[in-house]
Amino acid sequence: MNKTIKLDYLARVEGEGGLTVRLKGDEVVDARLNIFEPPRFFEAFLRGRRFSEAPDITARICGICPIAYMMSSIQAMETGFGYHVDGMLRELRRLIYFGEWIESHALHIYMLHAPDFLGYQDVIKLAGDFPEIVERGLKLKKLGNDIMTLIGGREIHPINIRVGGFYRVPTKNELNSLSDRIKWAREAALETVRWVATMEFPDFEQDYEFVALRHPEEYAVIEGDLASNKGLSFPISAFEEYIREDHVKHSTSLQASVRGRGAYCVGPMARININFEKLSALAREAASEVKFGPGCLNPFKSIIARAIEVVHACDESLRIIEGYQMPEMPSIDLTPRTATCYGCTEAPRGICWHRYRVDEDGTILDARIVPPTSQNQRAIEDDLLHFVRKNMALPEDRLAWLCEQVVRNYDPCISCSCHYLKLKFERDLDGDI
Amino acid sequence: MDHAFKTCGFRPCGPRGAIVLIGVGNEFAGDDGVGHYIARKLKAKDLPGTQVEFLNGDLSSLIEAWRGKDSAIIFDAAKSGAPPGKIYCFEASSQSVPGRLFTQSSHKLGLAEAVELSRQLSLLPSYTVIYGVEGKSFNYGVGLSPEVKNAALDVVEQVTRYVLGGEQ
Repeated sequence: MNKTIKLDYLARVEGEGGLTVRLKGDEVVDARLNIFEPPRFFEAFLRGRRFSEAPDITARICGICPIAYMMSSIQAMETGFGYHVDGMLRELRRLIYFGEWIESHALHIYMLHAPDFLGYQDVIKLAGDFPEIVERGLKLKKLGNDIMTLIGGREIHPINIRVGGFYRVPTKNELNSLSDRIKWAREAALETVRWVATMEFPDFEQDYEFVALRHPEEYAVIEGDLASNKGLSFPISAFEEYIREDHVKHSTSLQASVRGRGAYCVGPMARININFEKLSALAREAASEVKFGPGCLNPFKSIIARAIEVVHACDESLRIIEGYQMPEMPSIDLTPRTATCYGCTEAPRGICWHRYRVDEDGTILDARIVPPTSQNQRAIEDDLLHFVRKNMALPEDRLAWLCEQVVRNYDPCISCSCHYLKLKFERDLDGDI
Repeated sequence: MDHAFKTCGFRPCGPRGAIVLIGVGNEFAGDDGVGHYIARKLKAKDLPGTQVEFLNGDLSSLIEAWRGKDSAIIFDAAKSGAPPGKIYCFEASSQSVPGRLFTQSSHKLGLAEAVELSRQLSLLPSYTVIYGVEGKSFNYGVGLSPEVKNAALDVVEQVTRYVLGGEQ
């Protein structure tokens, strides 16, 4: 007799997809993300458009991390045409990107992930018992929004960012107006690290291959080469030589893997494992205080990794503002040329890779975009499979709760590529599937 | 005026303290722009004691907009399957918001969550009213459907009377 147990426990992560764990007797045989999000055709939309339109078009892929898409497409066009934007314009790009990190990480830590660990159905229930903590999260998130608004014109799908720079750059005084709040945020971020480190983490580790950008001088965000903790090291232009994407029957999202090796993991855990020594001194101290650092293979502790990155983001934002001198020109002029253009930056949830072919007039001939969540899909499935195997003895409702956490460990971006809705256990009581 | 306004929880009495009028939505997505449309019309009237905000529905921005205010009146597009132009009106300060009516993303957290979270944190103005206008088309582009625009103008008229204290 076959039995299907449906559990709608993923209420805080809605969308057009599901999760199925198949059990044969007491053995877990399969864990799948069933993504049936319709194709969104962004790569097709880009064909025939001007290179300069790519940032504004790709920003619409996501309302949470538009900066990641804009910056990856901008980097692609600029490097493809032989330009490198430096100085204060580069610093402003890093600053607005940190705004996105602060906003996105605060949202996930406080509103989406913390309730999992503390046994609350959602942040509204959490706020009933811990109002000051939730208020802190809201203020942090709002600061991230406001950094994005000041530099980008608005927080969602900013309108002030272009290939070559910006349409308008802020004055020194405008940036200074954020300083006191960022100083507060840096302290709040340190408190966040201490708070999340006290949470109870399931005993679970995976032998991940972490992949992140690496830069010789900084905690890589807006540029770098790609590296893994298992020896990979290659320029972003070689991404397709090392990474493949496959269509699987149960998902409309392509699943990425390292060629010949399999699943890999991108995002805060990957960045900290690969680039720990490039974090700001304060962020490293915060990590040390809670005994967190490279070598951590417990995906549930990604909430600590995010909190440490908020410390770094605040610290670097202050440093950028202190050293800011308003550029004479808000952007540089570019002349397009025939090129294959590559861009890759670190979205809050991992590398966001772009490739464009552009003709001599600057018209996009074709495009390929690999968002972070599609790169994490296999790692999520692997985690689920092994986590359920290890915890079969748990009551089913407790196990389902934890499986949700397994998914949320990755902060999957439903706007970008994956939607989850239902967790379904299919149990074959007779041993047949 | 043949819609739900007359039966809503809106109390047509004079204004009390600082009022924030908040248009929510995306004016580049067809009828999702109705909240901004209403707010823009009200801003043009320069009603006494009011502040007008234009927001996209982000949780923390909503909460900051009504933090410290005595009254908040919020306008957003509804998507419930009702005929286009139907007006919903809730006194959110005394009842929970039916989140299913409004465009929402659980990742982003929207209007309904912002209201409930504010209630928990004692940040919700003592008098908070939410208007939802049922949309017809949420496709890319600027401009409202005719029936949505008509309903929006009804809302503008009613809110104006409310703020001016003319409807006792």
